Amino acid sequence: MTEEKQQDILHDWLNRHKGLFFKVVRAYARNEEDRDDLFQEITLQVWRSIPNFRRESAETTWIYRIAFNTAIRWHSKEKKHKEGRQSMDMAPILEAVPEYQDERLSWLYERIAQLAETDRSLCLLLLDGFSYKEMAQIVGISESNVAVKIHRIKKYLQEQSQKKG
Amino acid sequence: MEFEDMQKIWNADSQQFAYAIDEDAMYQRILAKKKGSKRTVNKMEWFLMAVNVLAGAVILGKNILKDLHNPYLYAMTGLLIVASGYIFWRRKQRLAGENHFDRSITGDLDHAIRNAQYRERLSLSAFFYATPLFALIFWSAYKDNESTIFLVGIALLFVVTIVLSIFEHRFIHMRYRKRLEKMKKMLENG
Repeated sequence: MTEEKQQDILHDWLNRHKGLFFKVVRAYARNEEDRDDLFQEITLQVWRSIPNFRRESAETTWIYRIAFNTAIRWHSKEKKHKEGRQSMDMAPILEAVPEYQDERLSWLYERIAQLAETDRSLCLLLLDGFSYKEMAQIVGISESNVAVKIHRIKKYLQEQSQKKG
Repeated sequence: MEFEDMQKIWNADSQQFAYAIDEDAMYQRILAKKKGSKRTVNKMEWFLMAVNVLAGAVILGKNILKDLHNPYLYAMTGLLIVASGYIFWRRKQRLAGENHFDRSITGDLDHAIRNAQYRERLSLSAFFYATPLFALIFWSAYKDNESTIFLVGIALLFVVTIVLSIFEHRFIHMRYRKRLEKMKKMLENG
């Protein structure tokens, strides 16, 4: 596959599924610089994966799997920016659009950020309406294990919501 | 707030437009990273193989051209070439096993763990192989009646190499592998 073709596919995926990229980035990275870093890393890994995409799974499933795996491993590298530090060498790739920032959504992301990094992936899939079977396939654990974890996540979110009042 | 309400908030279109992407800058960085990010393991393997072969060739050349015919230097050349062949064989095994993982997050983690284990073993084998190599260098220098300072220098270099290789093994490769294993455990057992 040529680099141009790869770039076209990534461009198309970003157009149609950019919300998915943003969700993972917001769930795993705390500040704007980290989000920019993680977004770069995820797009790089997705771009690399394009020649291996065989259409055996849906595009969203494929992208989610790569995005989660990249985010989980990126998170474990502990090589994040300190809050407030500015990158002087490179302009950011991601720019937050203020009119689309929703307070209730920010609250939800803050709660998701409190979960273990491996549970965050399940929480995002759950909120996106994936079935237990699909979640089990993406994460690589049994459906019963997914059910147990989802029960715990839902309970946690509801408790947090009650605390908020 | 009920879970269904959270889902409604989650599914709002605003998520799709929360950020603007500078695609030109993004592709430039992807291409730059692609060029600069040959995998660490790959680099490590080629570096070790090249250093071994080069060092072996230099020692052999010196031994023959200067008519030394020192058996320790021949042994050292042999050891260096065998080590290089061993790394090449391990590399072939690693590459053959690259695509044998399922395409789930745990599958990817398994893959990463296997790569980390490989790096761990590679650093450990470098540790074991440094010992006979330094012993041969030391013995050869001793036989050539080199000065005490020179011999102490070799011994110190050996100690520094061992300390650094233990540090690399324990604090970089082993720690990374353990972190990945912990994540996999969390994913499976919660």
